[in-house]
Amino acid sequence: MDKKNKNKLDSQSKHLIIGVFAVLVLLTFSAVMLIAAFSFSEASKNPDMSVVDTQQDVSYQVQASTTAPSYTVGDTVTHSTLNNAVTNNNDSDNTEAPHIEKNDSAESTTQKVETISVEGLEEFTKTGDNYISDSPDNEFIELVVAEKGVDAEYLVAIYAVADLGNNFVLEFDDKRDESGKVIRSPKTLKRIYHINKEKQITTATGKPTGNDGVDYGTSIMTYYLVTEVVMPEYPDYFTEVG
Amino acid sequence: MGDMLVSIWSILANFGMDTGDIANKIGSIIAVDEKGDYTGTLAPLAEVPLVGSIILLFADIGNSAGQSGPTTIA
Repeated sequence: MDKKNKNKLDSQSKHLIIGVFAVLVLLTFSAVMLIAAFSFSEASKNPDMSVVDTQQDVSYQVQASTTAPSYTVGDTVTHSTLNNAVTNNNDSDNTEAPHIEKNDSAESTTQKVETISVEGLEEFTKTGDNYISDSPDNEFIELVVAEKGVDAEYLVAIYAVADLGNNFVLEFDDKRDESGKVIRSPKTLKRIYHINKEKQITTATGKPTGNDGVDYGTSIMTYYLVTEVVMPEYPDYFTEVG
Repeated sequence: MGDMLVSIWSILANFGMDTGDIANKIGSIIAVDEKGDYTGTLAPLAEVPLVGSIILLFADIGNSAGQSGPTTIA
């Protein structure tokens, strides 16, 4: 082969290689574009996916509520829930406030919201119905009268049915109103008796002294929950509540 | 130790309340001030096991509920 023909062949080979390379580039580019178009289409159908893909920091504006936000122990709120709360913010039918767990650490849309739980306590759900009685014949009042020597006149029982051991008897001071009736108010609450399923009694005074079977922390916490939350539920039985 | 608290917790749940309702009712005795510190009669008990957990839970909820306008979660 002479030198002239060899140069011609080299030139043809170069053109062939460039041509093949160009075709490969075009095919690759087309494939990338197709994949991108498909991803965009799927993301549009699924808002969560689009949020995850963008990896943007987001400040969630939760719908304003006239009541406190509802926290339910044991539940977990996902970002899609939060996202719905945001996107439905202007929806007039969305009157229910979003139920949200502890949410002060949501730094980005891909971070899971922390679940609130109180170790040692069961899930905060209704397990029965509460009842109240000041009858001397009430079984829990009878038990306190028998075991603690307190006159039934000072006692009010609050208990749950079915009996899961959630039974309380409140004892009040000997302070009376104009008609001579014992005043049952947060100020006159003297002791709280708890009666478990085995009918064992523990006593809380809400003070450092006089507690029986409970520590001071439990005593004062129970005392305030009874005076601030439980007693106002029964305005017919207690005064100076609510 | 926790029997009494577990029981009062159940009684509260039986009323149909949620923890936001309770936080509103006891907001005068446990709250979070503008510096982020816990305040109120129950604040010194924040480190007590179980009791402290409940107190801080209600304080945080009450703090969140006490904000005016929409609650911002950032």
